[in-house]
Amino acid sequence: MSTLEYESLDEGEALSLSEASAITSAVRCRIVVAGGPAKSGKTTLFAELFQRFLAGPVGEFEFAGSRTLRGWERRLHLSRTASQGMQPDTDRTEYESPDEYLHLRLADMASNGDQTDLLLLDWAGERFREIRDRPSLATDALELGSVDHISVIVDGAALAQSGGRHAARADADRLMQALLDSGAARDCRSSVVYTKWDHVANVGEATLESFLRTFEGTFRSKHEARLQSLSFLKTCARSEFPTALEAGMGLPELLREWMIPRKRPVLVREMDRPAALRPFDRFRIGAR
Amino acid sequence: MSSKVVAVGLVGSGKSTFLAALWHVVCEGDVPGALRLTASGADQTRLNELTEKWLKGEELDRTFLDDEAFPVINVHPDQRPLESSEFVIPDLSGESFRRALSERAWSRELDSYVRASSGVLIFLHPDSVKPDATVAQGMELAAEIEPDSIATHQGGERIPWDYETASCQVKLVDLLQLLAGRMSNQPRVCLVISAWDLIADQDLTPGNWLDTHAPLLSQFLRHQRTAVRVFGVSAQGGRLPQDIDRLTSLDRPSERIKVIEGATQSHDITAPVRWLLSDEP
Repeated sequence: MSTLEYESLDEGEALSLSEASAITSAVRCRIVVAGGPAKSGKTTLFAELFQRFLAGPVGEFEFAGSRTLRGWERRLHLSRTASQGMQPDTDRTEYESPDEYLHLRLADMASNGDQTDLLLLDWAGERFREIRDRPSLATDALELGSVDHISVIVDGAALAQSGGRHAARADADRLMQALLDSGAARDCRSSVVYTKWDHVANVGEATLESFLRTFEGTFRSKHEARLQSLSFLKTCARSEFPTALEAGMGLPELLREWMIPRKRPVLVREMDRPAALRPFDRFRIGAR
Repeated sequence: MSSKVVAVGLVGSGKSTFLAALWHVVCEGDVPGALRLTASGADQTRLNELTEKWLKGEELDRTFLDDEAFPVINVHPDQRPLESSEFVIPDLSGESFRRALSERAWSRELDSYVRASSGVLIFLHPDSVKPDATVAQGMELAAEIEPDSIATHQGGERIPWDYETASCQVKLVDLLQLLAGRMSNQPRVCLVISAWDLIADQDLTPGNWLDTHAPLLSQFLRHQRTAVRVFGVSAQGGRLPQDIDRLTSLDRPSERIKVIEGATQSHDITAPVRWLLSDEP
């Protein structure tokens, strides 16, 4: 090519709010927030979901495109030998990172290949900790009515240790309480997602049976009435104990949950809103 | 017919051998039903040099491919010389596309080729889609070979992320999305799996091979709202240098070429371009 003039192309990185907004106008969209402590496995959960599509469909869903291919690949780097790491890892999402949405366009093969966009908010654990401690922050951060599904992450590695499991349980409970009290999660579909379940399997699931039964019962009785749905899912995105569980366990089930539409009330006032302000356009407007 | 087809692919994806064989077939006119060359008066020196190397069974070195852009080829269907179309491989080495993916920019000249095209011919070399090796797999393998190695190996410094190391499937999806984003209409897409002779013994159709070995790309193509076809093409007809005598001793060099779509096989290397220029579903 002889010319020195260049045309810029789409970056392919994780999306800012305004970039993500543009996507939602094209086809149906699900917005998912997965909240939990730092290093509890949120980004790994997202990254390994994409990794699964590299090997084939995930459950009934097939890959139909992504605006954030570089963003996905960047998050998978430390899990690959190209990084020369000695342990599978995922770069921590920085607290100061701007809002970053990872995007997938998925075709539902159980529904004639209908396509839906999935936007996953990749936030640092510290920001969820702030919301847990100061619920009013959630009102600014998560615009009401925008999020379809909220997953509260419970770190299986913490559950596997007797010294860590009560803190992990309490953290999930407080975060959901804060999200509901602020109105951010009200009437959302939701799930409690146990990550790193291979750690639990490694110490023996039976040792946690009673603990989890109590936790899930209490969690339901406290929060379920204010949610459209509540499920509990065990996942193992990557297995540190290969003999215990297969990597990727629970991801198809989790994806299926995320893709179920939230029932939205039809409001007459919506008709007065300018066309540009679709629900997702209002997502986190004015925050930070 | 006034359509234009742009051919793209990453470094080493088989574009140059395809072009050499295609130029031979359109000039020679000895494959029934194949596209024919439309006289244009354009400089054909580079194309003739390329095809000369192909006919002699010589491998194409990188310097030759990097040298300069190749001209547009004007072709028309057999017996219909007035229905001329354009076929262009704007960057034979694939370097422009490698840089486009890494640096998220390409030249205005390439952009204008893309914008003017209604069809995309994209190349995939079978060796380029090996599964990404994960650290977990590496650790398992190391533990099997030398159980003490995990405990004693300290590991080096981690290498920073670079898109160059990304999965080939991801890069091709990325490239197709970038191309479609610059075109006014969703382009017809034809994927050519090059060096098909290397994998022909797997007894799979090109579409089945793609499903098995490049599932992300296969899923992506299946869900585009446009016509898509997958061909397996052996433009060289064998391995070099070991097969050189067999390849160069044929009476008709066009018979070196194998083009597979579904269960059918031919020597018509123009078939993928011909389909892109047609309105067949």
